[in-house]
Amino acid sequence: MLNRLRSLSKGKLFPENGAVENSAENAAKYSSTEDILKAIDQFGTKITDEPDGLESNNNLQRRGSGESSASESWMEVDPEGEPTITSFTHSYSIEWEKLFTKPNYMRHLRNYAIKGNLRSSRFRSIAWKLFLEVLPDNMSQWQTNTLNYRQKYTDLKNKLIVNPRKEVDAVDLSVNNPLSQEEESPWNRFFQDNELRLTIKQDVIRTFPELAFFKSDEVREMMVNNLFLYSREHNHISYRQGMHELLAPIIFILHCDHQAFLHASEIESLKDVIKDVMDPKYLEHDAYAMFSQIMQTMEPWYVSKEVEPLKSKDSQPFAKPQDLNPSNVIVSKLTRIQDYLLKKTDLELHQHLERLDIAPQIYGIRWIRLLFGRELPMQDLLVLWDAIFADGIGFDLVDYIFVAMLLYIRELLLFSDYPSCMNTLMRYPPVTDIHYFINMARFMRDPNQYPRPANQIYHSYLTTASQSPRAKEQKPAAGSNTDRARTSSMLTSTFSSFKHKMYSSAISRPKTLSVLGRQKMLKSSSEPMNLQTEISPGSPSGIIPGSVPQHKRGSTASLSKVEDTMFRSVPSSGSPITGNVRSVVSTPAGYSPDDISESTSPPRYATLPTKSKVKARRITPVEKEVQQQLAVVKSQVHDKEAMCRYCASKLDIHIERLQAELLRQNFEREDEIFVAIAGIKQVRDVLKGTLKFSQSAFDEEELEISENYYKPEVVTEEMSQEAVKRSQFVAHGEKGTQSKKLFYMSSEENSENLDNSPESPISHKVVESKEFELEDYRNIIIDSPKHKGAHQFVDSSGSNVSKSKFSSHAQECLEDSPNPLYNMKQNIEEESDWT
Amino acid sequence: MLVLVLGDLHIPHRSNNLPARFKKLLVPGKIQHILCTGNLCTKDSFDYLKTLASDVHVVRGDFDDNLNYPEQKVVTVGQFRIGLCHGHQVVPWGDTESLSMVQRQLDVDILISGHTHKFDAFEHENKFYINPGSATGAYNALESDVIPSFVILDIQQSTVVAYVYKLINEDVKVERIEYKKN
Repeated sequence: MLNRLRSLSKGKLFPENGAVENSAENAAKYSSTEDILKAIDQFGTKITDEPDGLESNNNLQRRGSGESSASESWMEVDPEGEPTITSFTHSYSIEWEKLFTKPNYMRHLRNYAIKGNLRSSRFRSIAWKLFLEVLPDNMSQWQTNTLNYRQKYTDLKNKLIVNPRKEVDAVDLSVNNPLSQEEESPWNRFFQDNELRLTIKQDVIRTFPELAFFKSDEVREMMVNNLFLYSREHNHISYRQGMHELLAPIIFILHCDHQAFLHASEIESLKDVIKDVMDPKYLEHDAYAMFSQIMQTMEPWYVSKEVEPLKSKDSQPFAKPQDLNPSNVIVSKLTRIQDYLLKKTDLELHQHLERLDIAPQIYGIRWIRLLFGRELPMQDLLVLWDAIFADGIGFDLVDYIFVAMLLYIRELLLFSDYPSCMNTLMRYPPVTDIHYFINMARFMRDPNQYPRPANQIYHSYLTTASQSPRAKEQKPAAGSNTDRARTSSMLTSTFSSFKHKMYSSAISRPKTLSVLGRQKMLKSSSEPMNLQTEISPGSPSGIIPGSVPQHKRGSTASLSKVEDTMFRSVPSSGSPITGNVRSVVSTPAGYSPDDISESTSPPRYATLPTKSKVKARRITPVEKEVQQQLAVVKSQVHDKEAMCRYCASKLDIHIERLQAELLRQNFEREDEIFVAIAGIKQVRDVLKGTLKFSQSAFDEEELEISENYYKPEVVTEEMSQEAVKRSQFVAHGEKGTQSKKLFYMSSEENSENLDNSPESPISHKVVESKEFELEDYRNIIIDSPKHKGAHQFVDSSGSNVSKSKFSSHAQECLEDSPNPLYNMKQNIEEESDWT
Repeated sequence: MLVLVLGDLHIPHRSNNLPARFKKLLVPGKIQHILCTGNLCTKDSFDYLKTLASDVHVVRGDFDDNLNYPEQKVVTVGQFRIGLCHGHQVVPWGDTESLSMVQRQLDVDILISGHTHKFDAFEHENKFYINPGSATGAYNALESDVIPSFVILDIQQSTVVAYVYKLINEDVKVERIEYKKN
C-alpha cells in the first residue's frame, strides 16, 4: 500500500524523473502515513518552487554523487521490498534480525540512525552501544563483552564506594579514624565522597524536571552512582555540571528499551543474546559503560585548565581574550566553530555576533557540553544523538550541528540587539524539524556528498501569532542612537542582509524609534521573501565549500534586482543612515524612472501565488489583510518616489533651458535670477537625492531664497506634539490630491502617513515616537532652536511638483557625508575588506 | 553517625582554648551531634561547638555561666538512649556503682559523665559508660597534670564504636573501643 502511495505520488509529481528516490533527506519515508504525507507535501513544494531546469540539474548532480561512492548509493536507493521501519514490523525478533543480522549491518545501521529512523526503534540502546563501541561489531562477542563490562562496573563499585566501617583492621588507627584528614584515610575519603555525592545529587534532582521518569528515587540513585563512579575513576576532571544531562538520556533510552524487551519477552521467545544484552537488571552497568564512552570523547570539552594568559607584551592590541588564551579546549573549539565554520558558512551572522561581541563560549559551552541537551526536547534530542553517535565516535558532527543551529535562528539574531540576541541564544526557540540540523550539518561538512537541506528558519511570528500586533507596538520604543546606527550600518553593509532584513525583522525588533512603521512594512515585505527561503529541499548540491550558501537560496535574478533596488533607492533617501534603512526596507521591488508604469505592480509579486499557497496555512487572516494593505501602500510609495525622480529630471531639463535663455538676454537684476536658479538647482538635487537634505541647509540659505522667490509657507511652529500631529493630519488631508503632491520624507514615515487614518490610535503612537526623534534632534541642533521640527512647503513653479513637504531627521545627517550613495559605497568597501 | 562527646573545657578560667591539634581535627560537616558534659564555661565555647554541628546538647557543670542547662539529659541517637550528666553530683566522683545508679535512673544504654578530667570508658552490666575527660586538659581539684581528650562515637544500628582522641606530647593518639548492644 505504501509503495502504491509512493509510486502514485511519484507519478503525479515527478513525471519524468525519480526525484523521490534521490531525496536522501526525506528520512522517515515509510515510517508512518503521517510522514508520507509530509514527504509528499515536501515534494509538492519542491516541484513548484524550483524552476524545471534547475530541478533536473540537481537531479543530475545528485545522481552523480550517488554513483560516485558506494556508501552513498546505499543511502540514496532504498531497496524496494525492504521494510526498514520498525513500527511496521510488529515482531520484536524480526526487528532485531533486520537491524543486526544483515551482513555489513553497521553501515546500514549508521545510515539508518542518521536519517532519524531509530526514533521508534526498540533497539536504540543497542545501536548506541554499537556506535559508542561499547559492543563490538561482531555479534558473537556481544555476550562476553557485556558480561565483561558489567563485571568491571561491579568491581569498580566495590572498589570506589568506600565504607570506612568495613575496613576496621586494615589501616592504622591514627589514619583510620573519623576525624582523620590524611589522604589515604577511608574516613576522609568517605567524607569527600559524601560531599561529591551531594553535589551530584543536587544536579541529578534537577535533571529533566519535565519528565516524570527522572523523579523516581531509583533512577536518581542510579544516576548518582554512575556519575560518582565516573568522577572517582577520572579524578582529573571529577564531576562537572552538565554530565548529568548527558547521562540522563542514556538511562532513559535504556529504560525504554528494557520495557519494550520485557513486553516482547512475554509475547514471544527471544534469543539468548537479546536476553543478555537487554537484561533490565544491568541498567546501571550499561548506562555507565555508555556514559564513559561518551565522556571519553567529551572529556576534553569538560576540562577547563586555567593557564595564565600570555604576557601582555606579546599580545596584540585589540585581540580578543580567547585568542590570547587558547589553552582551554572547549574555548578553542568554540572559537574555531565561530571563527572558521560559521564565518565560512555565514559571514554575515559571524560579523553580527562579532559586532555585538558575543563570544561563542557564552552560550556555546552549554550547547556543546550537553550535546544540545538543554536546547531541544527529549525526543528531538535523541534523534540528534542518534546522528551524532552514528556519525562517529569523535562526534565530529557536533561542530556542524552547532553552526546549523545558529543558522536556524540567524534571522532572529541578525536583527536583534545584544540582550535579545543573548536571550535567543540562551533560550533556544522551538525547533520544527530536527532533521534539518542533521542534514544541514552533514551538508556543511561535506557539501559535495550531501544535498543541501531545505532552508528552515525560525519564524517567531508563527509562535507569537496569538499576540496582538498592538502588543508588539507597545514595546519600548526608545532606542539609543548607537543602536540605530549599528543596525543601520549593518544593514547597508551587505545586500543579502537587506534581503533578510525585509524578511525577518518583522519578527521582533522593538528597539527602533518608529516601531509601528517598521513592523507594518516588514510584515508585508516578508511576503515576497518567503519565496526565497522556501525554495528547494535539494537545490544545487555542488556548492563549493567557500561559497556562502545563503545566496543560493533565491534565484540570482531576484537577487540582482534587490541589489539594483538598493542602489537606486538609496540616493532618494534624505538622511544617509536612518533614511537608508527605511527606504531600503520599504522598497523591495526595483524600479527606476524609466519603468514607472511597471513599478505600480511590482513584477516580483508575479511569482507569489505558488508560494502563498504553501504559506497560506500559516498566515492568519489578519496578517493577510495587513499584507494586502501594505502592498497597496508600498506601490503608492513607489509611485511617489518615482515621481520624485521624474520631477528632478524634468527640473533638470527646464533649468537647462532657462539658463541657456537667460545667458542670451540681459536683465537688470541678473544676479538675483541666477541666485534663484541656483536655488532651483538645489531643490532638484535634493529631489534627485544627490544632495543631502539637511536641516541646517534648509534653515539658512534655502529658506532665504525660497522666501524671496517661491513664496513658501514657512511653518515655524513651536515643536510640540500638537504641531507634529497637525502636520501629519495635513499630510493626510493633502494626500487626496495624489499625484500633485510629493512627500519628501524618509519613505517609511511616508508609508505610515499613508497607511494610517488620522483617527486610528496607532497614529498617536507614531506621533509619540516621532517626538522621540524630534527630542533627539533638538539636542543636536542647538544653534537654530526656533526652526526645528518645522515643516516647509515649497512651491516650485518650474515643475509638476506643486508642493514638497520636508521633514528631516537631522541627528545623523549632520556629520555625515552629504551624499548617501557615497556613504553606501564606503560601507560596501568596508564589507569587501572584511571578506 | 558521628557524635562528638567532650566536656570540662573550663575556658577561660583554667585554659585559654582547645589545643590547636584538636581544633584542626574538628571541622564542620562530619559530626552530626555534640554531647557536652558541661563546664564550658562561657557562651563563647558553646558558640564554637555550634559551628561544628547544629545539634548541641549540654548539661550544666559546677562552673557553667548558663544556669539554664539541665542537670541531666537523655538523647536518643539511632537505637541508643544516651544519658548525659556532668558528674559532680555523683559521689564519689567517677565511681562505677554511683554512675550505674544514675544509669538506671535515666534508663539509658550509654551514660556519659565528666568532671574527673580523666578519660574513662568501660562496660558495666552490659551498659556503656564514657567519661571523655577534659578537652582542654584543664586541671581539676585533685590533679594538675591532665591529658586533653575527647571522644567520637560512631553509632550504627546496634553498635557503637568510640574513638578516643588524646593529646600526648603534642601528638594526637587515637584509641578505638567497640560496644555492642544486646
